Amino acid sequence: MNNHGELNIMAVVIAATVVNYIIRVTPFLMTSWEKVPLSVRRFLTIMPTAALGALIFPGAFTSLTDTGRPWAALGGLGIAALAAHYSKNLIIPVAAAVLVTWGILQIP
Amino acid sequence: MRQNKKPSKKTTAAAGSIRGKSPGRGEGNPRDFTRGLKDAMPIIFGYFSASIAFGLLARNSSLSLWETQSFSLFTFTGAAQFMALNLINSGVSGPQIVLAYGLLNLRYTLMSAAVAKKVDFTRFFQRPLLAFGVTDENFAVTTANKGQVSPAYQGAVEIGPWIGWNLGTSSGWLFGSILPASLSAAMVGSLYALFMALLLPDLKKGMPWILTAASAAGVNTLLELFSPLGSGWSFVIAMMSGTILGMFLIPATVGTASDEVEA
Repeated sequence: MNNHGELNIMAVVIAATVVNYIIRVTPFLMTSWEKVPLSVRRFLTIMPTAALGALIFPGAFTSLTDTGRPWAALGGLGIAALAAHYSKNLIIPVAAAVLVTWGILQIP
Repeated sequence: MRQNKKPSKKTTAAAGSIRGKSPGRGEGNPRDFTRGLKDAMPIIFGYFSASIAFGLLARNSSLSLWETQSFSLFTFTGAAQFMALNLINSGVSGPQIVLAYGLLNLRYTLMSAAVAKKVDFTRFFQRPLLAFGVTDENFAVTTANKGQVSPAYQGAVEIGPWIGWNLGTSSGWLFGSILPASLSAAMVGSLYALFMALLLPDLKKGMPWILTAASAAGVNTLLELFSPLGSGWSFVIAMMSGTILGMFLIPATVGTASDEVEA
């Protein structure tokens, strides 16, 4: 069971915390956006759309690999998109997707 | 108005809301905080479910409750925590785990930059504080707002999910083995449903936006499935290439100063 033997987990946590925080805090310490070139600002405006595309694919499918039915994600994503089209409330698409995905996984 | 010129905490908050272009802005506005929590509800729900899986896996990898909880309390990064468990189980050395952590989380540099640009900071201490809790999910929620957001809003969008992620972590370590596997798998999927719901308004803006998202999705899928790059690099490359394609396709007025005032 225990494969980590001599590894000090807390040391890993502390080092990972420092690395993570440096990655996250650096852009926050830039106080003047006026000096940032227009192209960079444009990049940052468009970037969320690309990020969302890459966050969904292939993660939505690979997260279901253990169930043997990765394609069940299609049902969840489809209903989420449909619900988001009709409702501005984010809870509804999320709840609908969980129900549909769970339903698909229940089919024998 | 005269009060606002005094450099006290209260007046800075008032100045923040006066300067504001959108309603309800300002550092100390409790309604902004509530609105942030409301927007973050799907993330809180999703994180709680996903971190139950993390807590359970960590216990099965013989981590103590405190070691498991520390990962969630201090690093607060979904995918990287799962990866760390994998590496710990395969006997990888500490420095290598930390390096992998950094690579997988490089994307936060870009996300933090987009969030930092979106928040109307009123005092300097808000910057190092709000930098702590940026994640894929709250980055997506924050940037989906029209115009700027207040520090109170951003605080809520970070702290709510942080609490959910940590409660889920301890619940998973303590009681995770009770849940049926199909239910926990479906609950983890809630994060992807959230991403889809956030992406849909962008897709409705037209073909250039659809192609931006689709190209990033395609590149990421190809790299993750068929390349030896880790998912950290795959994601960064996919996100960059999708964005660069988008910069060619999307009209030049988007993302410029005039556009931001209008939004």
